[in-house]
Amino acid sequence: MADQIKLHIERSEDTPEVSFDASSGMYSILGRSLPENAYNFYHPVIDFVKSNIIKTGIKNIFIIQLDYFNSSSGRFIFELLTVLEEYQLSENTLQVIWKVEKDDELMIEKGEELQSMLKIPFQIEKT
Amino acid sequence: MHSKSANTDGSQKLVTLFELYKRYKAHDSAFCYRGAFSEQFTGTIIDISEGAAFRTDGSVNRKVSFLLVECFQNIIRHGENMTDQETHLDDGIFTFQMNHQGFIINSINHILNNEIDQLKTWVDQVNSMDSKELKELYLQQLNNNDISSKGGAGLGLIELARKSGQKLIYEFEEFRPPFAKFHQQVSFIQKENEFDFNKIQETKDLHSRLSGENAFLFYKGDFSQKSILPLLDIVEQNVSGGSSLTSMTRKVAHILVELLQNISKHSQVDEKGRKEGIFLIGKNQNEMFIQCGNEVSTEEKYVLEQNLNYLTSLSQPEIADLHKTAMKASLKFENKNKSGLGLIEIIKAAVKGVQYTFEPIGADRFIYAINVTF
Repeated sequence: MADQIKLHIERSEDTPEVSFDASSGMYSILGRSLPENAYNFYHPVIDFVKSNIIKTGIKNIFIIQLDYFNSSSGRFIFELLTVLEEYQLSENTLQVIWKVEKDDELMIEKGEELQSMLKIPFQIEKT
Repeated sequence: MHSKSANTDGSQKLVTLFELYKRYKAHDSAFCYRGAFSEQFTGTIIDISEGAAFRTDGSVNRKVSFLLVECFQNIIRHGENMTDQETHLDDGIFTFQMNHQGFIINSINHILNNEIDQLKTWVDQVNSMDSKELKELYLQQLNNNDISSKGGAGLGLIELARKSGQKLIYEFEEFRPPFAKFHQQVSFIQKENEFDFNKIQETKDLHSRLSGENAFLFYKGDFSQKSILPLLDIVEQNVSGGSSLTSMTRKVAHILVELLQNISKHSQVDEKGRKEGIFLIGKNQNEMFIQCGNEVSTEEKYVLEQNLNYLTSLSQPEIADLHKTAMKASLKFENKNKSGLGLIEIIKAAVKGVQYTFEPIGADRFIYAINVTF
């Protein structure tokens, strides 16, 4: 059995919970994201994906469910997704799920914007 | 369309913000909340007050926190909740201001007319006592089983007088029967001073000013992240009415964070390491507005003004395109924390208009103020 490769960051008052498990391909970012220094927060998160993501024989599911985020967090969420795009993963190996509440205009708009800018399997799931 | 609703001359729209700026210019911190008081706000108000530079000495700090909590909870315990969810005209007010000499807490809340006599007698009795007598009265009350129907046993006022070391200032004002307005001031002055620090009238003015604008929160002071978060909490709670996050709450939070962090990023850091700014938020029927201000230099004014003039000349589709372009470009920036997206986000979200202005306040200094409606 492969070693479990995980990254877990607890939610704080201005950063989301990050729960990544490269061995099972389950990745989630939940909460709100408004750190003053978004680079410090997202740099290790993006590095983890770059170093650990398994590109074949597994489906990587990224669930992003945010209440709201500041513009600098938005920049790094976009960077994270462009990293995934660079790997040119197909639908068999990658699925990004942008979870929003069905009446949440702002987060729907943010999801649609990212969807239009990226060529990856990106689904907006309204609940 | 932004190009139709935008107005570069915001001086008229932002007149209240400037007035408040002038009034509290010399203060480290000023805060005012107008609305329904909820127990949940108690901790948040303490957090906000902690941004004030005045709060450095440990024992003073504890006194400030104690007095704030006691004042605020007294209103919740004894005040009649008059808030009309539709008009908000009858909302009470809770405000504090701090400067190098001390801090002053003012409040206006509603009580029943038939409670006036008893309350007046009680405050007058407390005010007539010296510290030794107050202590005796306190101990006597502790053993007294005659707790008022709303709890508290009158201990609150004794404690306010004891801990503040100042007389309580108060006034009753007629209101719609059977209600009256109760104005209260609790002061904690470190240095003896001779000027009149009775702020009852000033608080009345502030109340009518904020009511006139439909504003529910005003803050002047430090805008570092630790001050921004509690402000965000209080706005979220007010907008969502205490329930879980609504679509509107998220929108408000999104714009507010961007505006406040913009102040935090661009304002001058003073000698105490604080980032000074001012902000005001309110709601009119189906729209909300946020106003912010901070000091900038001539050079900063020039850059900001150019940016704002350009951004507000764009249509919604144009600004949406610009946002995408700027996102892509920001990945290549060397400074990872300088995305340049903040102002675009603000203008993009201000679907019902933006006004801004730069008021000179001295050599090479301006107050940059912006009003965003959505």
